[in-house]
Amino acid sequence: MSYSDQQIFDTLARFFAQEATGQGAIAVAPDTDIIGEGLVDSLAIFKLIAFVEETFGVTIAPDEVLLENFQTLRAVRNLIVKKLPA
Amino acid sequence: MSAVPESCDVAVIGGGPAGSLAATYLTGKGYSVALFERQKHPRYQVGESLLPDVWKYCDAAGVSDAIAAEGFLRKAGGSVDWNGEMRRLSFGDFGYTRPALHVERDRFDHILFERARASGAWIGEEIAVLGADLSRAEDDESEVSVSYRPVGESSASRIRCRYVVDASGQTGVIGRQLGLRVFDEGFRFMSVWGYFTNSSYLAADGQIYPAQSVREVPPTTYVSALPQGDGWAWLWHIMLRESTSIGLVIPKAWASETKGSDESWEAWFLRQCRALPLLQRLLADATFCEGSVRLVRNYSYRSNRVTGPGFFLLGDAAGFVDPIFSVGVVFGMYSAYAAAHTIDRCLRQRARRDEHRSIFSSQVQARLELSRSLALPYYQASDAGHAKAREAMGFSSMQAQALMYAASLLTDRSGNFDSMADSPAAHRAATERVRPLDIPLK
Repeated sequence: MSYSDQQIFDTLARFFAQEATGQGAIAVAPDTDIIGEGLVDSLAIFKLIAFVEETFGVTIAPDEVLLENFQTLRAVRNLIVKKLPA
Repeated sequence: MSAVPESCDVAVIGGGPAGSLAATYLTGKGYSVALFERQKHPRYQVGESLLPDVWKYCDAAGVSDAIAAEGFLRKAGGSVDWNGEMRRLSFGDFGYTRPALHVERDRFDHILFERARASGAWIGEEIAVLGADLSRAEDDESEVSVSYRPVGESSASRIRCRYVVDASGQTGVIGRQLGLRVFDEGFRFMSVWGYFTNSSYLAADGQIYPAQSVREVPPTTYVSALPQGDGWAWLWHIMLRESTSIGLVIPKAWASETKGSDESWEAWFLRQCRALPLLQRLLADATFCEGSVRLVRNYSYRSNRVTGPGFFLLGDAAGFVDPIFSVGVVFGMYSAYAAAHTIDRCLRQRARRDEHRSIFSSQVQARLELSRSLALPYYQASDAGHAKAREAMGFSSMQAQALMYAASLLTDRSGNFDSMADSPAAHRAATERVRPLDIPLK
C-alpha cells in the first residue's frame, strides 16, 4: 500500500489524538519538535514505535530508535517512507 | 491469601512501586500475573521524596485518584546549600502543573500494591523468591520456572511463567543469580537517617516556616553538603505529614573515621546534625524521635544487562545511584512501564522478541546512565555510556532537560553531565530559574 505524505501525517496525527499521554487531541505540525515539546515522552515513544509498526506494516529496528528518526513527524514520515515498498 | 497458582504469564518479584505498577500494567493488557512480596504491607521504606513525573505513571495505572485522596504533602521544589552556595528552585517555574510529593513510603507503596491486587493480579505476601530457571526461556516451550518459599516454611515450590520481572530492589534476585550487577567500587557509601517532630522547613520562597504551616505552604526538599565530606557527603531534610525525615549520605570510610569507638550511631547522627547551622535553626523547636535512627551500607551499581531471554530487571534491581536527585521511584515506575509494554510485544510477536528486548535495554540503560552522570561525583562514563546518556538527554522534553540542568547547577556533582549535555536553550532556562537562597543564620 502506498501513502501520500498527507495521509501519513494525518495518520500520525491520529496517534496524538488517541494515544499520546495527557495531551488530548491536538494538531501537530510536520516540523514541530515533538520530543522537545514533550508531546512524545519516555512512555509515548514506546507506543509511537508500536503504532507506526502496526499502522503502516513496517518494522523499526532497535538501532533506528534515534532522536533523528523521531524528533518531528517529518522525520517519522521519512523513516516510514524508506521502509514502504516503492 | 489464595493458593499460589501453578502457572501464570508473568511472575513479578517485589511489591514496591516498580513491581506493583508492572503487575497492574500487565493485568491491564490481559495477562495473568503473580506478584510476590517478601514482607507484608504496609512495610517501612526510606526514599520519601518523589518528582512530579510519578503522576503520569500513576495515571497509566489508574491509581492517581487514590494517591491524591491520601493527601500526601506537596513538595514545591528544592533548597540546596552546597559548599557555602545556597540556591533554590521551584517546580512551578519549570512549568510542572502537578506537584512533587513527600510521601510516607509505607502508605504510598501500599496504595500501589493494593492497586495491583484490584487489577486482578494474584498477590502473595511474605513469600521470598529464591531464583528462576531460565534455561528454557523463549525456546519452543517458552517456560520460566520461578522458585519461591513462604516465610517460615522450609520447602520451596515452583511456579511456571513465560517471563519473570525482577523488581526486588537492592536484593536483586535475578540480577545476582545471573551475575549481572556491576558495583561502583569507588562509591561505597552509607546512609544514616532518623526522624524528628516539629521541625521548621524551607519553602519555595526561600523563607523558613514552622511545622504547623506545612499543609498551607508546601515545603521544599532541603539538601546540604556536609563539611569535610570530600564533596560527596550530603544531608536530606524531608517534611512529612507528622514528622521530618533527616538523613546523611556519606562515604563509608568517612563514617568510620569520624565515629568514636564507643559512640552509638544515634549519637554520631545527632552530632552531625548539630554541625550544620541552617539545620540547627530548622531543628530549634524539634524533638528527635527516640530509636528512629537506621542505617544501610550501600553501593552505587548498574547491571551489564537489564533483560535477556525470559527476564527483565526493574528499578533498584537494575541499577542504583546516590539518591541525591530523588530519581529512584520514577526510574522504577518508568522501567515497569517499559517492561510491561515490551513483554506484551514479545508475547504478540515471538519472532521479534530479541528486537523488542533490545529497545527496552537501550532505553532503560540510557536513562540509568543519565541518572549516573547527574548524581555520581567524579563520575567518568565510558564513551559508550556517554553516548547512551546523550541519547537519553536528547529524548527528553525541554522541560525535563531544563530541570536536569538546574539539578546539575545546584551542586558540584555534575561536571560530567555538563560536559555531555548539549542544549543551550535548556541550560539558559535552568540558569534563569535557579534562584539564590538568602537565609540569615544569626
